[in-house]
Amino acid sequence: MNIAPLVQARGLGRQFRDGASEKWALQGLELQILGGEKLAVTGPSGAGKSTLLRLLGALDRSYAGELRVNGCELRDLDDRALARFRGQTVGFVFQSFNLLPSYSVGDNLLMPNVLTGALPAADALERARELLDRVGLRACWDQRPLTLSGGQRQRVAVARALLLKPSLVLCDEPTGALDHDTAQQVLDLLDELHAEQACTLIYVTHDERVVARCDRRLQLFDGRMAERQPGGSS
Amino acid sequence: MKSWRLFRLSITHLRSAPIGAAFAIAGVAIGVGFLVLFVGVGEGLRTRVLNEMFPANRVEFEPRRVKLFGIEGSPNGPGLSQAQVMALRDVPGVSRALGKQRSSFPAKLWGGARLLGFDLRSEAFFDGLPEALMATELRRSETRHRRERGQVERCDVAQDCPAGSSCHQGACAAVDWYERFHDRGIVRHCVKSAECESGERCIDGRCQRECRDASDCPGQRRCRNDACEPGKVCPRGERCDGKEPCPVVGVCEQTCEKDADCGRDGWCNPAERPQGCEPIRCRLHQQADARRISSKSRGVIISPCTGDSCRLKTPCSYGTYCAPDTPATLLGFCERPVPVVVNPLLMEIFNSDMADSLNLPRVADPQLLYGQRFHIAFGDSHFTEDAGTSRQQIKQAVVVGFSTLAPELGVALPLRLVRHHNRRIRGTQRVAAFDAVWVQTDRNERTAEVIKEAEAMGLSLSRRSRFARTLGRAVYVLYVAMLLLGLLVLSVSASNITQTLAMLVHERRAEIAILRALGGASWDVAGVILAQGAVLGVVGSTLGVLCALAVGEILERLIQWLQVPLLPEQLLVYPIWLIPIALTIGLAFCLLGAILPARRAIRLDPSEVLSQP
Ligand SMILES: Nc1ncnc2c1ncn2[C@@H]1O[C@H](COP(=O)(O)OP(=O)(O)O)[C@@H](O)[C@H]1O
Ligand SMILES: [Mg+2]
Repeated sequence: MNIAPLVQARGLGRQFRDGASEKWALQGLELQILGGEKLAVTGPSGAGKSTLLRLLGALDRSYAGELRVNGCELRDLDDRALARFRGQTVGFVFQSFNLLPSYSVGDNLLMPNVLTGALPAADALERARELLDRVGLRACWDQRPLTLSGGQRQRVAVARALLLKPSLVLCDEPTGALDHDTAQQVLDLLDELHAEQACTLIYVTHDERVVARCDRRLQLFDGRMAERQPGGSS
Repeated sequence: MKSWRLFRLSITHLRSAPIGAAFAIAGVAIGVGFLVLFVGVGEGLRTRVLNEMFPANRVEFEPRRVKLFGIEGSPNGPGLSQAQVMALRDVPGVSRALGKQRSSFPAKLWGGARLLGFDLRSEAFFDGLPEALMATELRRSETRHRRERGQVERCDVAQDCPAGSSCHQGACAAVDWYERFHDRGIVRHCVKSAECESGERCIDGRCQRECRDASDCPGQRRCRNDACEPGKVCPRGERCDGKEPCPVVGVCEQTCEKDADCGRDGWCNPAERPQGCEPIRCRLHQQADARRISSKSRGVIISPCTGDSCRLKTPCSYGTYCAPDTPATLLGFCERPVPVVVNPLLMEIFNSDMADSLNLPRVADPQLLYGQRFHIAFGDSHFTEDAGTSRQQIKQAVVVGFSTLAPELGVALPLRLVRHHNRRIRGTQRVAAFDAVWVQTDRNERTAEVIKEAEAMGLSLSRRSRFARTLGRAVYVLYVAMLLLGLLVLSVSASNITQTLAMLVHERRAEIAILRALGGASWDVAGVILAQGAVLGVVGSTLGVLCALAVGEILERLIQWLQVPLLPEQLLVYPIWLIPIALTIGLAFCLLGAILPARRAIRLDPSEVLSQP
């Protein structure tokens, strides 16, 4: 493909200082992710998967090497631009849902727009209702997140992640806290939305069924990478 | 919309920590409350108490005394000359300088039976104060007195005001009291001319102005010293400000055609050319009256008896009494009581200490003292050797007002009277000398300069003024200390707020991290925390102001109920800037307290929080 990659990482590394010792949680990562791709990041615990996701989501910018998203070096963005990047270009889905408990489902959905002001309020409201409808929770608009089940909460989180049509959706173990059936439902939903919204989807997961749904797998070992095709024999 | 949503988030967070928030609010309320209360009391003390008793623009100077072995030189030292007083008047910043003289002769005082049920006896000490100073002082206190009681009536001309009052500076003021501080009508007995003022001679045993016609008298005054408003001539037969007829005394004070022109205590002597008013001779009925002259001791008139005005064998007219020349004689003149001014402090001292120990009723309202009559025996003493009967004199006196310029343990008399008795009883070496001088500056701030200037002229602050200035400084220090205390309480509450909010930040770190992940900038997050500080600040400060006002009200009631001496009925004074400033300070301290937690929220690493399952 001759389209410019959405994510371009060269020699990407992240070092943590643990007391006196220093440790590379991520090192020498070479990565290109294209728009619309679906990527699974796997590896044993402590391999650096979450670290990578945080870097991609601009929650952490103390990295070594290069990391460009949409051709833009994340390290060079200021606080406000980074915040806007997180709000508009990235959507997060976490293992523990991370909904705001003091807000209703509707307000939770609208929060990215409240914070970034990307859409006019009426448009955002319309899109939020659409999305909630889409994830099958239309009736829950006024409910508090704590009254919902785990699967419902994760669906709300998915809807919230997609509100501002992000080009990059980052899911850190999205099914980790869900039982098998619910997990399938959420994954199906994510697959459908991925197709509809034409976004790039990156999973961090241990789950081989998730990996099977992806185009590509990035395997990390101790901060270093080994790339493979899913189900492939290479 | 964004700020509103974030604000709502702040409130929800705060509500989840009700105890911490309550403590934080209580702390701020206490701090702000103290601040308001302290300023209220401080301002009240400064303006209502201190400035009333010792106006900051008024100081008293004395000639500097040489200290010998720790004992200050005699107060009856060389005194001040007229020239020195005039020189003070030329000092920049001085709006007036008026000399005063203390009594340097023994005197006894008794009276008060009407008020207390029996006569109170005391040794008497006087200050002779210039009439001009006293008239303004009394007018001021009287106008204020009325204003405090809500009796101000606005006016343009005297006709707008009810009977008995006149228009002064746009407000009706009764002229009853301050207009009476004049020594007109009081006969000054003498043996030789040296006992009299300059320009006077001892004629027929009393001091009289030596003048044959108006040209002998200074200015347009026709010998009348300050009988009406300064500079205003009070023509024969007319009334001063529409009140009493022009009072006249002395040989050439005023020409007259009939006795009515000379007021109650004079008659028109046709032997004088041009005719002039003279005091009326009278005789007391019995010797006891000479010692115990009362308002009933009006005696009988023995001269004059001429023409249409023969009042022979009738008593002295109403408002006057027969004042004997000496306690040894029944002969005297019909005259009005000596006007005296009392220091309000005397009332307080009487009420707080004397009344109880002497088992006397308290004098609840100072007004009761107005018009009270008592006696002064000049030259007589309970303590020391008296001046001899021929030099003694008993006069009736009447309280015409209150002034802090009067001595605390004594009364103020018209200067001329005190000077006269000083000369008569102590000798003539004190002629023209003042003991001290009252200086009024045009602004409070200039007082310090004027003091320096006066000290360069060899004068020093009187003990009283020094005390007043020390007291002023003490109150000021107290005031500042109280303010600092209030600020200290606020600082403690601020650190309290820091703790509460830091705890909230820690408890809510997940939500803060979510906000950041969803596109919140550092400032949005900081805003949430600062808004919490602001909410605590506004609620706490408002509560504090309300509590302070309530406590102030209780305090006022308590003061009224306990009748604390020296404190006015309305002690607390809240300047208009106070409440906005207090609210601002409360808010500022809370925001200050919120800065640290806000920084902590900004520094919070969202990735660490969010990746925890
Ligand atoms: N904030 C941190 N401080 C210090 N070390 C960290 C921090 N975050 C991650 N690490 C280290 O980096 C390595 C990779 O962590 P992580 O990306 O969370 O692994 P994974 O998500 O693959 O389990 C781990 O060894 C962990 O100890
Ligand atoms: Mg992880």
